[in-house]
Amino acid sequence: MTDFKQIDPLLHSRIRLAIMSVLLTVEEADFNYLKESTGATDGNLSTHIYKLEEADYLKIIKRFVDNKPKTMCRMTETGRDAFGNYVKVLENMLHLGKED
Amino acid sequence: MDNEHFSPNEQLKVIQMMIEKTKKETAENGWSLIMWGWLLLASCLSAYVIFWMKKYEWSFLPWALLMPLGGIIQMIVELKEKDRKKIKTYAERAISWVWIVCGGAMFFIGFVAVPTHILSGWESITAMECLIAGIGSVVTAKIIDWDFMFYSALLWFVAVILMIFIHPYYHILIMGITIIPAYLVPGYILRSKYKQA
Repeated sequence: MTDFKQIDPLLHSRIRLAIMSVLLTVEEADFNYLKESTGATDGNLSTHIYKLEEADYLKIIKRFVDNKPKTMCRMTETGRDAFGNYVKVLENMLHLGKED
Repeated sequence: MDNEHFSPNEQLKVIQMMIEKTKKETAENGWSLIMWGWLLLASCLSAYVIFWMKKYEWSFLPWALLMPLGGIIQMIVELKEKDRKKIKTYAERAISWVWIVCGGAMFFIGFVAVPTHILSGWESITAMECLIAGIGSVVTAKIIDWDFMFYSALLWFVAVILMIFIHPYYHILIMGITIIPAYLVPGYILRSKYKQA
């Protein structure tokens, strides 16, 4: 049976879901790109990114470009699996909703 | 909280919207194909004009000038863009490796193997097959992002270089020996990983 309890609480957030959707499409994305595409503020985005990193859903890579720090994010295999499961649960919920 | 009243439909819409938006950002602008297209066209036409003038010994000149020029331009642009890019895609990595190895193979055939006659005629078949196998293996290794396979794939190019110095009678044997570390070992490692997963 599918219910809300099966929903991964870590991905059940607009910003975190948006971050993971971007990272699903690319190999690596820059912090500023994630900020632009999610519309989040620096602090808010950092908080969400660190939460996802703690769960091993993404990896943070720090580099220096022209003496300026550049933060890149990359989805991990754990993150990819979690995202796949999340979408499956969503699809099941929508399917059950239609049956009702 | 940003997840209040976040219905399954809305969640799927967010996923769809972000994927579509990112896909648009990753679209190729085609500059590389245009630059190489013009350089290759100029090389072909110039080489034809040189043939027409019956100066056969100079027909290599357009290639020798324009191909390295293209390589330098490509390298400068890639290096400049590499660090400034906000996103990096799997397709970009695969495409760049396809062209790095194909470019290397084209250079080897055009400027080393054929002009020096170290590999020519029927005797060159095994070496050319190893070259193509090397291209395929390096690209595969880069697509699946596996360093072990990348280094074992480089053995195909080592085999081609060895063939320059070794009598063609032994070429097929060198190819056979290369197949073991370059195909069979990575193949068995992948199979055992697949079974464990």
